Amino acid sequence: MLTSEVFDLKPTSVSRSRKDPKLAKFFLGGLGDLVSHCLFTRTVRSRSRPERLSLDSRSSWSVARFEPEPNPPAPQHPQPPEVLPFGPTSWNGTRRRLLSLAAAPGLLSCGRARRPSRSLRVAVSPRVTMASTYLAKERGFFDAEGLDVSFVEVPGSREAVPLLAGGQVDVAMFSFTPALANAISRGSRIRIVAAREEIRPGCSELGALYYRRQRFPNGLRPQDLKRVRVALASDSSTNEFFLYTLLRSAGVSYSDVRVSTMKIEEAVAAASAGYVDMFFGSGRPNFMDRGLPADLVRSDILDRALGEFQYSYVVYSATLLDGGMEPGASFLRAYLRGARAFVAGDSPRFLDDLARRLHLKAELVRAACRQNVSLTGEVRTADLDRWLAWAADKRYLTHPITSAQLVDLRFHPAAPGKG
Amino acid sequence: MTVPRQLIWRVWLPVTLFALWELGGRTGVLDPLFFPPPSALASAAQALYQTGELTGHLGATLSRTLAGFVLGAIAGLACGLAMGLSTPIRRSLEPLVSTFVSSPKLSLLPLLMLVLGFGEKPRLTLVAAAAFIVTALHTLDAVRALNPDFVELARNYGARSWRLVRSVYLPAGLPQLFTGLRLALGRALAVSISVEIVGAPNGIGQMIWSGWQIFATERVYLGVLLAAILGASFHGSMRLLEKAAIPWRD
Repeated sequence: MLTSEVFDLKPTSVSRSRKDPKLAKFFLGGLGDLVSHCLFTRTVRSRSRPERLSLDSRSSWSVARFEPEPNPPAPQHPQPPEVLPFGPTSWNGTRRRLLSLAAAPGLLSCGRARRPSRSLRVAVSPRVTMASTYLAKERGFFDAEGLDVSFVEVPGSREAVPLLAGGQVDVAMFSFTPALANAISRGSRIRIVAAREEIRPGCSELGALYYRRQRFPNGLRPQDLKRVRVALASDSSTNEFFLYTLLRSAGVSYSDVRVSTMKIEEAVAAASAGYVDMFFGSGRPNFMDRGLPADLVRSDILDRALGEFQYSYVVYSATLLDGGMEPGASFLRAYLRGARAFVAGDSPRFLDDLARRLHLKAELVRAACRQNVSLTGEVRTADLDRWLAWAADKRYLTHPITSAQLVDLRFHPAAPGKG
Repeated sequence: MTVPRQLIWRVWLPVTLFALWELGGRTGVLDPLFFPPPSALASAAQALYQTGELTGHLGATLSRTLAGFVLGAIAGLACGLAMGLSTPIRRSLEPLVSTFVSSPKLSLLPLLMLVLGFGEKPRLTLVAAAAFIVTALHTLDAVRALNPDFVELARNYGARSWRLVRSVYLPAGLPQLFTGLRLALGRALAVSISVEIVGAPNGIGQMIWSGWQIFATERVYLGVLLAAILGASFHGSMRLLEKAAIPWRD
C-alpha cells in the first residue's frame, strides 16, 4: 500500500485521518510505527502547505477560490517505508494494547504537532456582523489556511487601535475611527487591508435614526433639524459622523442642535421622557425583541443622506504587514470565505452566545440583516475620504493624512500580481 | 532648612522623572506613540491654548468643581453641625451619610439624569454631593471631638445656641473642619473629572476621554497632568487659607 493512500496527503487531512480505520489499525501497531508516523506526517505537512489562489473566470475576484498546488515530488529524506508494517508481528495482543495505551499521549502530541503553525490574535467586538469571522473559525477556514486564530474581545474601535499599535493583537475588525488615522499619521505600522461592512438603508441597526413622533407628528424632515435635541453615544464616534453628515445634507450647522452624550439605553429612556428628540441606533441589536416605546419611530432621512457607505474594516498590525505575504493573504482569504458563508445563510454558534449575552431571542439575532457585510472586501477610498473630511473638520486629526496612507491592499485577493 | 533647599527637596524628584521621560522618548526607549515626551506635551498644550480649547476645558472643570464644592461644603457644614449638636438628627442621618461615603458617586449619575434632566444640573449635583458627604462627616467628628469642658464653661457663662456654635464649636473644630474641606475639594475635583469623562461637553475629563478616543495620547497625558496640577493647587490654596484662619496651628 502506498503511503499517500494511508495518510491522505491533502492539507486538510488532520481531522479525517483520526477517523480512518486504517489509522485505528495503525494505532494498534505499536510504538515504533507511531514514531515513524509522526516523523512522516510532519514531513508531509511541511511540503503540502503551499497553496495557490485562482480566480474563477466566470465572475469577479469576489468569488476567488483556492486550489492546492500539484503534489511536489516525494522527499528524499526521511524515507518512510513504502508499505507500513500493519501485518502480524511477534508481539502478543495484550502487550500491544498496553503499549498502545502508553503511546496515546505520544499520539496526541503528534496530532498537536500537525496543527496550523501560524498563530494570530484577532480583536473582535460583540456584534452580529462579527459572525463572519467567527464562522471562518468555526468552519475551519482559518485552519485550512494554516492559521491558528484566537479572539480577543474588545468593546469597540478605540480599544482596538492601541492593541494593534502596541502589537498585542495582529488583526482587528472595527469601524472607522479618528484614532486609526492618528495612530498611522504618527508612524504606527497598522493599515486597513479590506472593507468589512457598509451601511445599507434599512439593513442594519447602525445608522438607524429614531425620533419622537410627538415632537415631529408629520415625520422628521431635514428642515426640522434646527434646534433639535440629539443624543450621541460619544464624541468622535460613528454616530457623530452620521449626525455631521445629516446636518450638512440639510444645510444645518452643528451649533444649531443641542447634543447630549449618553449610552444608547439612556438615550431611549431620555427620548421616552422627552429630554431628547432623536438618537442613533448602535451596531448592537438592542431593540430586536424588546421593542421600542410606541412614540419612538425610525426615520429614513439618514439613510438618504448616507447612501451605501463603508464604515468598518479589517486592519492589520505590523506583524502581518511586515511578516511576508502569505499569512496576511491567507487570513483575508479565510475571512472572506467566512463572510460569503455568513451572507449565504450559515450561522456560527457565536450568534447564539451573543443572543444569550444580550438577553435577546436567538432566532431574531440569527434573522438580522446580513446584506451589509462586504463580500469582496474592496475598499472604497471615497468613503474613507468622507470620514477623513469629518475628522479634520472636527479637529480630531492630530496630523494631516490622506486615505491612501490608511490602506495597504497588497493582501487582497484582487491585488495586482495575485492569482 | 532654608527656602531654596526646601524647594530643591520638593522639585528634584519630579524634575528627574520628567528628564528621564524626555530622554526615554528621544532615545526611543519609550514608544512616543504611547509615552509622548514632555516636549511633545508642551507643544500640544501650546496648540490647544492657541485654539482656546485648553482654557475652555480648564475653565469648565474649575467652575464645575468650585461651584459644586461651595454648594456641597455649605450644606455639609450645616448638616454636620446639626448631626453633632442633636442626637436624634445624628441617629437619623448618620447611617444614610455613611452609606454614601464608600459608594461610587458616578453610579448615581444615570439616576440624577433621569430626575434632573440632561445638562449641567446632574453633574453639579454629583460634585456637590461628593463635597457634602466629606464635609458633613468631618464636621460631625469635629463637633463630637470637642472637649465637653469647653462647652460646659461657655454654658456657665450664658452662651446658648448660635453663640455657642460661633464662639466654641467652630473655633475649636476648625483644624478638623479644614482637613474636611481640603479633602472635600479634592473629592469634588475627582468627581468633576469623572463626570466629564462619562459625558460632558467640556472639561479636563472630556479632554482626557476624547484624547483616548482619537488616540491623541498627548491630550491624555496633558489632561492627567492638568488634573494633578489643579489638585496640588487646590491643596496648596486650602493650606494657605487654613494658615490664615488658624494661625495658632503650626
